[in-house]
Amino acid sequence: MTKARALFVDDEPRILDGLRRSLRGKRGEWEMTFVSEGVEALKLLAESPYDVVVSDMRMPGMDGAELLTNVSQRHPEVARVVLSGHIEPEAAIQVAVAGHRFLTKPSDAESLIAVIEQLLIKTSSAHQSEARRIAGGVRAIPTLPEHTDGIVGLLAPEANLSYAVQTAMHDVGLTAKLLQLSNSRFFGSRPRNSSVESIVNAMGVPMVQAVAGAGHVLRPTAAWDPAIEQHLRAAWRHAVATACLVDFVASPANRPHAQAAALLQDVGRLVCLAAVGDTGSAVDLGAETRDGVPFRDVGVELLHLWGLPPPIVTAVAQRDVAQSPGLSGLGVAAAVRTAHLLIQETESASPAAGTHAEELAQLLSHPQLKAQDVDWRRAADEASRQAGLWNSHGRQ
Amino acid sequence: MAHILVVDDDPAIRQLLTDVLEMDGYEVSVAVDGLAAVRAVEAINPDFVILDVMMPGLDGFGVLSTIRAQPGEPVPVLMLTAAAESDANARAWAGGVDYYLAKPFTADAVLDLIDGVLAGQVSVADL
Repeated sequence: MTKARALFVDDEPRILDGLRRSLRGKRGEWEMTFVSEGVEALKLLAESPYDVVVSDMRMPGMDGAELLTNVSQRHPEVARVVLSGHIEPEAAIQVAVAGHRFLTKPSDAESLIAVIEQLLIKTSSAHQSEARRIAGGVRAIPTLPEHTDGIVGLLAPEANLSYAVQTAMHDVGLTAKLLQLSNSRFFGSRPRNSSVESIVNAMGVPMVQAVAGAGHVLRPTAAWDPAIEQHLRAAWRHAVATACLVDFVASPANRPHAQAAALLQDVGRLVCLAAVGDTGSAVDLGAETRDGVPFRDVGVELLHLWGLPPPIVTAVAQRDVAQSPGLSGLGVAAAVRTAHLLIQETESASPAAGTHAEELAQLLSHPQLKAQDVDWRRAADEASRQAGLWNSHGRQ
Repeated sequence: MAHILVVDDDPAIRQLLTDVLEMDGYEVSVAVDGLAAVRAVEAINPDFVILDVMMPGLDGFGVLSTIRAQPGEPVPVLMLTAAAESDANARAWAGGVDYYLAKPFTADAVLDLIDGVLAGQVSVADL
């Protein structure tokens, strides 16, 4: 078996020595290289393949943000970890966009090893390196033209907390980015359940504005082909409708993860389709692949790379897998699948997925759902209507 | 390490669950009745609650409705009921539990469920 290869970059010899010492136990499994400059790191990356690069942020010459941005463009398949002692919000967000995972110094060896080990796992079994290469290069998730108004409103000085919560909860890219940031330890302790609402509350409006305004969450959309834009709009509406409905389907403690997974269910489709026109990417709408990799595999790899909570990643991975939950409870994946199948019978159906009446009837007969006093079809229609309103928001 | 609150008036079940959970590396607190459970949820902010239904005084449903009325992120709750309580299942789901097991249950069933929830359910390696 070939050893995994990790590259560590820090200008302080003391820190590099500390890393070398604390990671000594992994020498049997990892081939580790320690360098003190970004330029040297780029030279090594160009010479031979690495799996992970771990970089400091503040360095003389090429700093961490510049190094990782370079790596994301030239070597998107290399997972990027920021290891930094510097946490001024503005600068932190710039680097947060360039990296996949974030750790603050001093970090115990255990946390660093755990992060690297997670990043060495690739989620897609059939297209591992291709899925990693495509997902690794993604820095932002596209925003539909009609939603940019909402983001612009969020950036206004008078934007308040509830406006920020509403905007973030309906925006696929902002939701993903906020979950990525909050699930790292960059911004203090990890929240237990990370609903978008509690993340926004904990971060505060200025921080959310900084994330939204970093210039990377919003992606220019002017060049999209109308057919592609139509396709993206349908995927977006389906995601918002499912997220509204799953609030009723999932149990209280599973709701935050279920809502996030519902909103992010087609994130792979969004990033793959947004790349149409980018040089060298072959997107096949019929086969739902980019460079031969299924959209879903790209999305799942992306959420995994960004370190989103495993229940969210699993539920997105299993969106199209028939679920037969046990009597002990639906859990996140089956709740998302149930809401998805209900929405498939409404105007917010995803054209790329079918209906499964028999499976849906089985799911709705689960004691957890039968005990709720909800007319599921009516709730689905209402969620669909809400999503339609949200989708046309700002286009009048 | 995740902190689990075990709520049961039966000392044998409290001891059994405490033993297996601690052996699995969890930190465990116990509450012997409903009022103690409500106080413990507030005081220790557990990561998971195992809640028996039948208790003298404030029963499991009463505890559930009290902790579900509190603001903030809801704590995952597993409810345990005896087979004799025939409508308990539906009442538990309607009251907002996340997981449900009917007695008699095995310690393994409880552990599998909690490990799945707290360790992040399926690891991505199993996808």
